[in-house]
Amino acid sequence: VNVFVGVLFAGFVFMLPTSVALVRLIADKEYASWAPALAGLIARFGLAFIPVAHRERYREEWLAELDAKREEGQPPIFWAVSMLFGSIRLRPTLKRTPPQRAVAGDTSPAPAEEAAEEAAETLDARTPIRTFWSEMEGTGFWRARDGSFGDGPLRDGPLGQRGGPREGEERSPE
Amino acid sequence: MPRMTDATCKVLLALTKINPQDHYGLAIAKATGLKPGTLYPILARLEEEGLVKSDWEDLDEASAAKRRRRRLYELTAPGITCATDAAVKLTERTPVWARPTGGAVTA
Repeated sequence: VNVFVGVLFAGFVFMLPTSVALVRLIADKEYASWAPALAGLIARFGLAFIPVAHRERYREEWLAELDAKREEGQPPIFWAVSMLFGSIRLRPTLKRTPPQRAVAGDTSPAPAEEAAEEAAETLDARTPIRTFWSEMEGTGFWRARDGSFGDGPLRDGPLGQRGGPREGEERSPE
Repeated sequence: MPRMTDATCKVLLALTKINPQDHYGLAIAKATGLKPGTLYPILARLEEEGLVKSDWEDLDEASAAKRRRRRLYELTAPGITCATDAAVKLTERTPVWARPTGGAVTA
């Protein structure tokens, strides 16, 4: 019995660090592959809190910074989570400021523009989930054809234009 | 005049110190040690007050570097004045023993 317990213990001592190392290796690879995509997803979710008029600007700005963060080899997920909280804190300020007006010092929106923004805001506030999914449309996040998961730095097409095909790739009939 | 918290002072100071080509969010965050959740609301508030203006990076430059274009922030004339005040305020708020040699606090 003692010999059996000894062998079992020796096996356990050998297997435990080996298993941990193996699991860690797999987890690291998994994390490296899906972390950028998840960070993009979190940032896009944060964009649902940004007023419609400012959303395009922050989308491009934040995705550029997530790309930069990824190129530096740093985990972008924490950065994206912070962006998510930032978007909630940004909302009141941005609701007060019409886009491109603060620079000129004119903070009074035109009546039609104000009404349109207000209507979009109301619709947006009532349907946050739908807004999020509309943000995800055209990003290719769920439909990567090359087997990769998520949208890379230039996967959306030419700079600033979403949905464009990649070089040498034909646009699908859908 | 915006509420001059330490973080706001740091952002204003960072915009005076960093190379103008690096006035984008990530670089400012690195210079100030702030997280984006704190930085972007501050930048939006400063922009609302007219102390900071922002514009897109030149598209050709971004295309040459094969990356998305960045949003670059710049101090306006009132912003530069405010940054000078911010440096004084930050120095006053920092205990004497914690100030770097020379007495002035930088971002």
